[in-house]
Amino acid sequence: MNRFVQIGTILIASFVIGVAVNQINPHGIPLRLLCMSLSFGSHQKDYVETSVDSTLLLFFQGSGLFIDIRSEQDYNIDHIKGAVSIPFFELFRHPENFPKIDSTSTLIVYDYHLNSNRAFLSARFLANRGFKNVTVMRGGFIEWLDKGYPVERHKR
Amino acid sequence: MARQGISSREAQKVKNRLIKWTYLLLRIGFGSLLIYASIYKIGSPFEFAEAVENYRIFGTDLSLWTAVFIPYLEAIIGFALLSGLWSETVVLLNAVLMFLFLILVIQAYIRGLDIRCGCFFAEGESRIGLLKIFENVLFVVLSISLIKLNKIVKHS
Repeated sequence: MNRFVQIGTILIASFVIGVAVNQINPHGIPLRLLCMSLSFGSHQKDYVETSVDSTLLLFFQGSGLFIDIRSEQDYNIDHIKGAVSIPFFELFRHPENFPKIDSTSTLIVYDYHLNSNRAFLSARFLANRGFKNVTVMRGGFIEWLDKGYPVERHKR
Repeated sequence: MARQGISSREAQKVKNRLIKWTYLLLRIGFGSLLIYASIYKIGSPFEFAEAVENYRIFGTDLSLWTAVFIPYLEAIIGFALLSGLWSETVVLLNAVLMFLFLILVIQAYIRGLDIRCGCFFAEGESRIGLLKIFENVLFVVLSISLIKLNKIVKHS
């Protein structure tokens, strides 16, 4: 068999088996998440995007739970006051550890960067798990910090 | 003259046998190494995706796809090396894989990333450093030797 055909066969087999086994593996990466990461699948938005200023209003109203999806180290340095730390990969790895809260509660997801794909992926994941009011803070924590909005810093 | 001819033929025989054994040893060594490296990654794809993302080359999306694809590619190449199937193609793919890993490790070292390699997920796996680079250079050199030995064995 031609070498290129052999290479193609090995690559395609790895890909197909990988996707298939991940569907069976309870700790696997579901195809839905893979498609979401490429913005395939449903084009209907199941979350809301808000600016940092609008998010500040929610913060003062105390009507939402802030979810910090950055790494735990970053969270420990500083984070939005009252936010809970659920690092991005942890959210998918152990969704059962997600705080037991009412599905109608407002969840505000934020990452460090301006328009993080991780924040959108997390928001869609949470919306798929039945949360009806999921919001992504556009601008991320960096803009929140730049504007001098309230943060909790790690006490040394 | 005749005695000299016999001894040179015997020397050639010993050399051929040495080449065959080294070839077999390298094939089994790389095959087992790749299968061993793939096992944990297949079981914990999210952890592997996080390890890939830590290299800060691929975004979250590509890290997830890499975690679905690479462990199975490693496993298939590993099994093919052990079985001797499509050996010319497989030793080439093995070398390409080793070379890619080396580039990843070197760029992480140059950029000063203080991360774990994510290669084997063994307890106490070493962080990226000169030792890790040396280890990967060794794998590249051995994988290139395997290509050469494969050619010699196939044509002898």
